[in-house]
Amino acid sequence: MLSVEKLSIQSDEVNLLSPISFELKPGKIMGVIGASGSGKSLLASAILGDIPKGFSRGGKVTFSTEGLANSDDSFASVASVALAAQSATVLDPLRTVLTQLLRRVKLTTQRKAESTQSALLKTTLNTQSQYTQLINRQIARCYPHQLSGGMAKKALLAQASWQQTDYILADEPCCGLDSQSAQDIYAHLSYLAKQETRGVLVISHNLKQLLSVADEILVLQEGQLVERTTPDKILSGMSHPYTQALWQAIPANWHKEKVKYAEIA
Amino acid sequence: MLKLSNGHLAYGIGEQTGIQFPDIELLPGQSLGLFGPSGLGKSSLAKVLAGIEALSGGELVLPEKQSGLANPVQWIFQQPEFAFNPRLTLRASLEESWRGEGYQSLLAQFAILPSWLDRRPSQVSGGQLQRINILRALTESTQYLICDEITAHLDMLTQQQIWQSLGQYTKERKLARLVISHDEELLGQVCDSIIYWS
Amino acid sequence: MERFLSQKGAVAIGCSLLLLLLSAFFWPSSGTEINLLNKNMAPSLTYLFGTDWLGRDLFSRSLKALVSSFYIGGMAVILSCTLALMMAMLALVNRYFRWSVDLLVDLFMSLPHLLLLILLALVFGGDQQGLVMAIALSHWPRLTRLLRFEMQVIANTPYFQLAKQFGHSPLVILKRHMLPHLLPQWFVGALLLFPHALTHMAALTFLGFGLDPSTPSMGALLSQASQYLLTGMWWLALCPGGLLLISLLMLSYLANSVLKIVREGPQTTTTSIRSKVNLEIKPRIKVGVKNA
Repeated sequence: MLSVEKLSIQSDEVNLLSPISFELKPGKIMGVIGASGSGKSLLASAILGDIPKGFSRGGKVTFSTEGLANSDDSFASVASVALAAQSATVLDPLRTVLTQLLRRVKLTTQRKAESTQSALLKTTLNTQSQYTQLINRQIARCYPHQLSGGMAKKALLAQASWQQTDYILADEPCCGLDSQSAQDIYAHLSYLAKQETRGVLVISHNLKQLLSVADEILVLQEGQLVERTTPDKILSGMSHPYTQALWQAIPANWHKEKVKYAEIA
Repeated sequence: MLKLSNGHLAYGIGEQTGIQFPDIELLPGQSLGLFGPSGLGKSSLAKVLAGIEALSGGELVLPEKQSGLANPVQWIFQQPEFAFNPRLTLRASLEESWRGEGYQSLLAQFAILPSWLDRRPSQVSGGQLQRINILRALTESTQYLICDEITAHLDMLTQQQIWQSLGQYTKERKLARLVISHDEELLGQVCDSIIYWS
Repeated sequence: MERFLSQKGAVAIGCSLLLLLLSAFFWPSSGTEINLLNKNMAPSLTYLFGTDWLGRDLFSRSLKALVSSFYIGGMAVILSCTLALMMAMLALVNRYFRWSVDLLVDLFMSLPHLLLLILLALVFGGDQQGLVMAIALSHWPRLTRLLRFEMQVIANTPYFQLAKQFGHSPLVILKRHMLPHLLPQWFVGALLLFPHALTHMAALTFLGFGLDPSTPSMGALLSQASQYLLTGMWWLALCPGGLLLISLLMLSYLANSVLKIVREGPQTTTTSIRSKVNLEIKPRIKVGVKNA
């Protein structure tokens, strides 16, 4: 279990993230929503122990697997959490996606298991599996500059999920993508949680796609946790006004008469 | 009237590769949606309609330009951080298109604070910058707006606010707009009809 | 200009550089008088920089050399940079101009530098004028190419393309959006060209196509001094070299402070008044909340 206790980021003057506590169980998907500037991405980097210069981190992040001793803080977190970054600039422009995937695998697994891992990777690319739905040979052969926005997001997620970590943080995995690509990505995220029992934390500003897969939702506003709720509660309107505002802001929920101004007079 | 028929844009010198545009007819006051996955050349289409790039084939009918005034067709770029000269204050950028302070009365409608205008593009947030970007395109001579994924990089709340202000304003002024997006639901909300491009 | 004057350091440096050049220009001795009785003297109060192997006063020679080097080098650099900027601008007109400019740049860059210099110096008849023309006409292509690519980068940015739809004339757009970005590059290019021009001047003089070796110039002074260094006459190279170094440093400091002002870009006059009022109201944007 990944438990976050009173995690906060602050400097002398400003509070970027007010103390937040929650826990993420393996096999669950937790969504984090909020407007831009609400501290969603900061939360992810704080869990990984990476904080902006001049700020200090408060609170504690602990990982516990059944039977094993609790491992504490940032060093351990690097080994058991993988981040699917927001922008494709984290990909090495000089290597193909496949080479980078192999590299990830080598870095994160023991030396002994290395050859079996890369063999596994190659066979998974050849055979039909959940992973090939996410990333096929065509994407794997590309260099980052040849990838479209959707392909890049898939490559980023593949890179994170291939590391076989217990927890995955996905930062805006389908921002700016068309609905088909977004569906693919969410299908993969729910596969990771349900079939491979990993804990997934998804950061998004699009509530709609998130609601269909997430088990729990954290709502952030200007660095503060507004509420911790479930998709059902949001759908039935039993949630904080700010959450409702976010839900109402999805184009499908806009009030038709109110927005449709551009009729020919 | 803005009309594009059988438009084609070739890259480079060879005529083999290029973009075949869908036929578009935009009447004054109309709100037309253009839906299509990324990578088809939607931004190139916006540039062609705004008169920034020339077609290599096909026919394009544009409203008449008046010298000394802004182009009646205005392209609003999707990423506002690249749409402003980083050296100029936002006020200077606004005055470039408005040729004066005519925009002042619209600041409140687009939820722009006057104090933002003395900053440079890198000193305001993406949502704030996009509002100013939109305001810059709404000059007195503007008749047609090409909204090229103008809210794709913003969060949902900001998106809603921007479309509310823009919708109200285009209704008042009876501006026509072509909304380019990959979000079908958004297009359904803000457009009268939608062209599907695939 | 006002902002430049507000920087005290830059003004002080600028004044002292000007003073140095002016005093050098009006220095009474021309540094060509031979005095064999006082040859090879180390620096002293009478001869600040010492004397050379013909007993000529090195201080006067250095000052005069500085003036002539700054004059010739400066002229050549200004001419060559203007040419480079004009060529780069010309390439923007249409594709035929672009091709011809590129062809010309390639042509000039394919010739060996020194050969080109000698040919040009011969064509323009040696002497001071010939030297200036030779350096100006042989140094523009590199800067032109740099500026061309810079311009291409800007021409492809959305803000430059968007600027076209606001109905201003192409010249206004160039002035507002292209030049402010280009000028710092241009300044740096000019600054880098200056020492380059000086060395080439010295090279031409050394080969006998440039100035008369008896008239003092920095290049000639330094290249002649190198023969005497091994005999222990350190002042022959050190003193004029130090003078050149100090003036070049002052020049680069000046160029840097000008650069900073250019980088900050133009500011509207209304800005300064409004920023003093500075109303900082927190944005209050209403969010329409509806009960589902």
